[in-house]
Amino acid sequence: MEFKRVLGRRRSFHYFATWRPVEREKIQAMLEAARRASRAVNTPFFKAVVTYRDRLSQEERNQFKTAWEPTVFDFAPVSIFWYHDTEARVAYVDRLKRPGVPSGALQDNAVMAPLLGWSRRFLSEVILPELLAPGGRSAPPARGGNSDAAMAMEQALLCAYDEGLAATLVPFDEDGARTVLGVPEVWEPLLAMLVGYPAESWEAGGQAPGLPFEDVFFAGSMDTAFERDPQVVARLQSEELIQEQAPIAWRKHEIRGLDRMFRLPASR
Amino acid sequence: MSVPFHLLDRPITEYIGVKLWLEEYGQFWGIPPSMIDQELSSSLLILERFCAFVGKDPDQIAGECLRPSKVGEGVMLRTKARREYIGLIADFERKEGSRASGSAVRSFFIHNGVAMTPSALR
Amino acid sequence: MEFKEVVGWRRSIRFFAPWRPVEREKVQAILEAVYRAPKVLELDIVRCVVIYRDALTAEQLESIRSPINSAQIDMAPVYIQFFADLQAAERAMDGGHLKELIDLDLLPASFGWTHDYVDRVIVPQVYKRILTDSNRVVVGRRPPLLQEVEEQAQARAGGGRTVVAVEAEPATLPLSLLVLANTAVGIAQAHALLSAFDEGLGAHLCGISPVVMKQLCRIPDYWHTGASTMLLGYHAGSWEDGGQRPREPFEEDFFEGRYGTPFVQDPGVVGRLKAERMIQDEAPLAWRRGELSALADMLGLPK
Repeated sequence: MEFKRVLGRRRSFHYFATWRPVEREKIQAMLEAARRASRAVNTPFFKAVVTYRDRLSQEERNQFKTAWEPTVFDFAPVSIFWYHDTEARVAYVDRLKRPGVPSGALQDNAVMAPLLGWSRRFLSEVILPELLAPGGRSAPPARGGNSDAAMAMEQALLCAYDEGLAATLVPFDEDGARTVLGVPEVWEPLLAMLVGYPAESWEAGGQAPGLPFEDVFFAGSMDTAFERDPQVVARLQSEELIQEQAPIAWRKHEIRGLDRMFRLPASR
Repeated sequence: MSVPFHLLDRPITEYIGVKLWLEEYGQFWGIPPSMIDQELSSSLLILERFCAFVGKDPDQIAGECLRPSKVGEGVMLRTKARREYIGLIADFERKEGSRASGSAVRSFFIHNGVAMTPSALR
Repeated sequence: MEFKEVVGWRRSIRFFAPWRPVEREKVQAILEAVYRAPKVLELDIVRCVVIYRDALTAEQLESIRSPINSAQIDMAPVYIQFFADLQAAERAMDGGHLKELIDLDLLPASFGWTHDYVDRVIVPQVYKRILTDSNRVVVGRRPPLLQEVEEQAQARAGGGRTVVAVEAEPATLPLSLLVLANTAVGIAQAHALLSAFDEGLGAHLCGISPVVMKQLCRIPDYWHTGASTMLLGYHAGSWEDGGQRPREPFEEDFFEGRYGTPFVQDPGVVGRLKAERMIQDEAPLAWRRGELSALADMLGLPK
């Protein structure tokens, strides 16, 4: 699918086709997309565990839930739990066979070149000993999220749409998930990605409104808004990045129908 | 033509830092050891002129930018010295009126482990 | 461009054509892609400042350079700096935006979304907990006071005064808020990076001092940046840029069902993704050093 259409199609979906399994190959495609995301010093800060709703008991699924949209864990056929591996950098230094800066792979592959100030000696005799020094290697793992791990997660999410799937990000309970998934303590939770074929329309009520564009984007400094050129907006509408915004006239009818189909409590 | 320079008490290719430069340069760019002197002949002359410009030999220059690591093996960058040399290289480049002169000297520093980049040409 | 091809062509591009400006409409298209990124917990937290290299004074440009990024800074005509507005969670405490989404039928009542649920559960149990997380983490130190800077300058100039380092108070944030901020920024950066390549540009996330970027962008204290700056421009070299970067074995990253059970990579899927150009030839490419040598000559960079 065209890139901009993928971005435009993304929404927070709720109603997944509970009866339709997701092909494993599509999940793999999402994970492959995550692996191709940008990452500092070529370190994989992300980790993910793929679970299948039908292989988990209701009790296990309940352990994932928080106050934020708990029901969707019962709808989506696949839940992928994304984590930030707080020991990723340590592991990368310890295991020099990995293709990161410490191993020299980026230098050998001419990604980090003398043109940009990098050399084998800088790597092996300046950078590496510093990383291996007690303060460098044994520094305690840092929690606090990681934008690189989030980037990988987002590339997987967008790939879901490219594969004809819908996906939604929700928080999950750290302790409950650790009990069910057995992940290491040093993994810090990011978000759960719920994946499936949508039971609702691709419009899913339309694109959500947000802050005005000019309150989010600035030129030069935050004193000057980045003015939105309507011609660019028109181009992006034709490329389907910008789509019809909520409310959509028939959405209430769609929700009523979906609630009847899933025997959910009646809508307002 | 080599510039007479009293601080160089032996041919420039006999300094440890220069040997390292030639070896590392050859390795990265795939130039056999037998051809590296020829490949970098003009760069070696430029480095000699830079040595005259700052009044130090190649090993003194590299030594000022790197010091033995306090922990374990390896070396540590002296960032203040590196900044000073970045400025001196820029001065030298202006004096010679040639970016190639600056690039040759920077290559010596980089392959000795002193990471640096100049501004890019526009 | 097809989505998978965009993912496949993305590299950390470090060589830009310094003489070729980026059209404003392409910058806007990138921002529009960020605008459509998912909002974690429906919080509008990400902010971006677009900086045009040629609009900076020589002093400003020098302030963002470091010994190992000068060339990249000089080559890229545009920088996009990402921030997280930490007051976004506080502003959401009235639940107003969530109630708007409920009223627009985007958050269905059958999934528990009501105004009452927002007031009674989401605001106190989700938003408030983030803001009041007693687990705080250090996110930097406050910048030196002007007086300290002047003293250091005098000492450097040989003024003879001894500079005593003042133990600055570390700046801290609630851990949950920092996780939220970094996650939101990362999601936005994924959209921005991919969109750049879709627009025919190259991009790279480059480490520039957050303190300097905060000053340059004149942002308030409650905007946080720990994020790299996105450098943007037209490729100076090939789109291959040496090939896709090598990765660790797939099975080290992903697990199926439970940690300890690797998600085994199916080579058939890899084959499909190669055909769709998401997986491309991996570095090193045989001709890379020839290209680098040519780039060095063209851009005046050392070999």
